[in-house]
Amino acid sequence: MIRLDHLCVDLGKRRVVEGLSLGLQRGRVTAVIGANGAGKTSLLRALAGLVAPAAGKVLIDDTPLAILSLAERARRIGYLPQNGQPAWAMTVRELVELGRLPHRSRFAALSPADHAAVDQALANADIAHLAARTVDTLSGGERARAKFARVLAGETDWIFADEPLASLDPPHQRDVLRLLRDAADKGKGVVVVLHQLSAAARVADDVLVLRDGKCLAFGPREEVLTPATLEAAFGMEMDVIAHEGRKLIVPR
Amino acid sequence: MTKRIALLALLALAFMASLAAGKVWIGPADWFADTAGGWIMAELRFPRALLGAGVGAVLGLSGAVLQGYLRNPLADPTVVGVSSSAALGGVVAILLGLSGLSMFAFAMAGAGLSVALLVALAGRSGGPLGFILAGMVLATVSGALTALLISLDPNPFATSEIIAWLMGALTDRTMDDVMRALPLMAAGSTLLLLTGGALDALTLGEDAARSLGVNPDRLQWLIALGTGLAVGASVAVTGVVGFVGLIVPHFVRQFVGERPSATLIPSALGGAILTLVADSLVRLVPGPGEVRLGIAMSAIGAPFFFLLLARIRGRAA
Repeated sequence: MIRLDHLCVDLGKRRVVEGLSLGLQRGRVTAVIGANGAGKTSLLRALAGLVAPAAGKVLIDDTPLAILSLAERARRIGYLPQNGQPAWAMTVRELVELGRLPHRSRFAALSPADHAAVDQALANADIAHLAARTVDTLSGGERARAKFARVLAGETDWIFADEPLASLDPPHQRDVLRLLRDAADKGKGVVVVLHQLSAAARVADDVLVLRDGKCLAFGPREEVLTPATLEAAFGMEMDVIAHEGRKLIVPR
Repeated sequence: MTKRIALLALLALAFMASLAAGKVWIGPADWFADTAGGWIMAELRFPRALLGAGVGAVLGLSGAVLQGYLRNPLADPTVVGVSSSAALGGVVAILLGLSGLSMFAFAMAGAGLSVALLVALAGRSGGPLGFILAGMVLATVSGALTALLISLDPNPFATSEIIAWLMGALTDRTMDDVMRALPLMAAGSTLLLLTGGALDALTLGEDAARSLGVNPDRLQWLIALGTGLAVGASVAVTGVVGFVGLIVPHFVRQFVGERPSATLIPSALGGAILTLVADSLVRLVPGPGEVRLGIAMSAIGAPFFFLLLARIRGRAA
């Protein structure tokens, strides 16, 4: 379990996350939603240990995140940042192998366990057939799955993904949502920042709504994704429509 | 593995070519003989070939590391100010009438100062952007100071010596130069080789690299110190030799792919080969003297680099 205890995060001199206290469970997908500038990415970066809290703390299984070594943290938390094309055109397999970096000693070749984890991640992301291709030759959807496979290869307990659906078409959005769901169903804790509210309604078990860095609502999606909460978060009216057992969220 | 063996074989050939090249032909039978040919071989050509291989290797390796770290294919040791700071140290030594070990020490002091300033200016967690900006400041300032010293120097002989030294050359180097430079080059190269995994991770961006356990401060120190030791020692014994660090990693990527860690050792081997070949060619030019290695490298490097870029662009189109 990850617990946030009065977590505050600053960006420069501005406080962007303020006083968050809540618990996140493994085996569940938690969607973080909110308007631009609400503090979603800063929260995710603090959860991943990439920015030190200005106040409060993050506890992972009752251990403060701040006292974990970089390697130990990397073995427990997988982080998928926003966008970003790899700077060098490495092959898909080489990209996915990067997920094993925290498990390897310096200069050591990949162990059989590393190869098995990479093969499994390639298979789970359905990109085994692309393994020898260089990343600059992939479509946006293929690249998104390759980057996700890199995180899967780390075999971490937690996956934090920042807007993984950005610039993907609907079929590829669906693919990535399936990967997130599968990861949670296999026992990982998944926290994902989403701007696609219907996607959040579809994939998430829990939803955290941020406004101005503060928690506006947190809980099971059925309770949180209401017109009143969404209007308070985004400052505009939204319809929440039940359709074939799913919720569709449509701005007015 | 086959590619590395091929590179090692080419390196052995280039080394032999460097031993054979010169105004005087010395047959292999004389290489170890107690003759004038044997003396030339032991006292001049062997140290020269060793230094050529060492200098080329550290320039190729540091170029590959810096391009990987800065995620910029135009980076090389000259852009982070280490070369020009070491050169400034060497110029001060020449102006003070120093040579040999003292001059080497001055150049290394220049390189050491540049490393300290580089890390201080880049700032804690300044990242690659802070690093390259700090490097450009250092390169500009040390280049300007060198020009100022040359322009203020009243002694035309010293000025001539400085300009010749700055052009880079392996002429008349001795085993003393080898013994001074190679250990520092080896130490710096070892530090640079430790960066491979972190450079691979950095391909995904700084946040992703940190999430994979990369310590950005440690990486910055490793690169600054490794470059300072290796390139500083190289400049201290040969002056400034450009282009090797820039073009060799590009050439290597055609064969081993773009993963930064995969380019490091091949770039070191490729740098050694290129420098040995260029230094052999400068000795074959007819006439009493030699073309300076730095000039030859630029003359060979610029068109070669242009052709390589044209080929890469043609393939990308």
